[in-house]
Amino acid sequence: MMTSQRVLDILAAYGGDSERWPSAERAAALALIASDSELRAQLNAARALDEAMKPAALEPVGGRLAEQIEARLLDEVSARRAAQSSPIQRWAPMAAAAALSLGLGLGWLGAAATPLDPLDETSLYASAFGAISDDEDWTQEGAL
Amino acid sequence: MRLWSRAGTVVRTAASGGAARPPHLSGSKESVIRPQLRVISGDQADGTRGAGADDAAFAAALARGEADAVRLFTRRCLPMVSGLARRMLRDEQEAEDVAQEVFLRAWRNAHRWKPGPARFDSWVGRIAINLCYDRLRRRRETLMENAPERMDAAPQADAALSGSEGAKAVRQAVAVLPERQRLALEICHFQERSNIEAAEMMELSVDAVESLLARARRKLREALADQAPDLIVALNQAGPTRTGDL
Repeated sequence: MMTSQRVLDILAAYGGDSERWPSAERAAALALIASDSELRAQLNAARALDEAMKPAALEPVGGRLAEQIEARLLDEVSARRAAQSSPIQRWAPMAAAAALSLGLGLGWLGAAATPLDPLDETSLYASAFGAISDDEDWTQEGAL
Repeated sequence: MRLWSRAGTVVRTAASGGAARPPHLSGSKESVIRPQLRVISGDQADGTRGAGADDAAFAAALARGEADAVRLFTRRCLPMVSGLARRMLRDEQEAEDVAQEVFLRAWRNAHRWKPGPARFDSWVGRIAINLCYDRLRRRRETLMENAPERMDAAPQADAALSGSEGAKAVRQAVAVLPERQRLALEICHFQERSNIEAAEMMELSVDAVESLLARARRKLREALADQAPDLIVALNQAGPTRTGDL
């Protein structure tokens, strides 16, 4: 239900032009204002401020900027289409798949040709996590 | 006037949809883009914005790079984007740079937009606002690094625009409002968009937008009472409201 306080809130936020008011509340607010002289005075004050604010409206944007943006977007569209239809673009997935297969194959062959020496595993972990002997000393100290 | 039609979407000019109509520009030789374009569905007669399905068709056409959609996109959203950027940044050149960036980003990501809580235009507006905040953040960082004692010169630049003393005072009063209040005022008052659209763009609740608007208007009234008291007094004495004016 519309109240005088709600009308005042609407005027305070949206001003005196009912076109700017929340559409769901517009009719009820106008009806209440029509029957209340104090609310009509508040409406006048809100309209006065609306009028005073007019010089702060921004000038409409020029057509030059719109044309620049349109041209740039259409250039981007053309560039994207050209990229999508170029031979490189069409062959790129197949080339990538071929390169991946080749790489995997060579890697498998290389691994088969030089099997990992189990004796080297210790040095591998040692380089990754620091000296294993130090860790062992620490464990022993903790146990004491 | 029918400009573009695809998948049930019709574009026409909406006589009552515009905002910001300075009369001194009516005779300008340069063509201007006014915020009067609306995309509406064929069965809507009240000039309101189309629903999600229309926006989805438009976004899809844009993502495909259809030339008509690109042109319509620019003319439909540029007044809104430009207004947000100019109001937030208070620098014409920087606002133009941001506008160009907004349109590129929106086009590149149009395929990602889906009908949901936010309209397509609100989504574009949100991109614009976020880019403006990025610029403002960088500007503040630069000021902090290079000249911490320097004041922001933008309000003075706004005030230097032509016009009467009263008009200058009004522009100055709007220019020095806090960013979010200025932004809410630009969307709802000057661009005449709904509080729901403002909430979508600003990622706030409708109540929060209403609060920002009320605070902005209260500050403006106080500022104008100090700086241009004659203006407010004269307007308040314009006469009682007639019932027919409501």
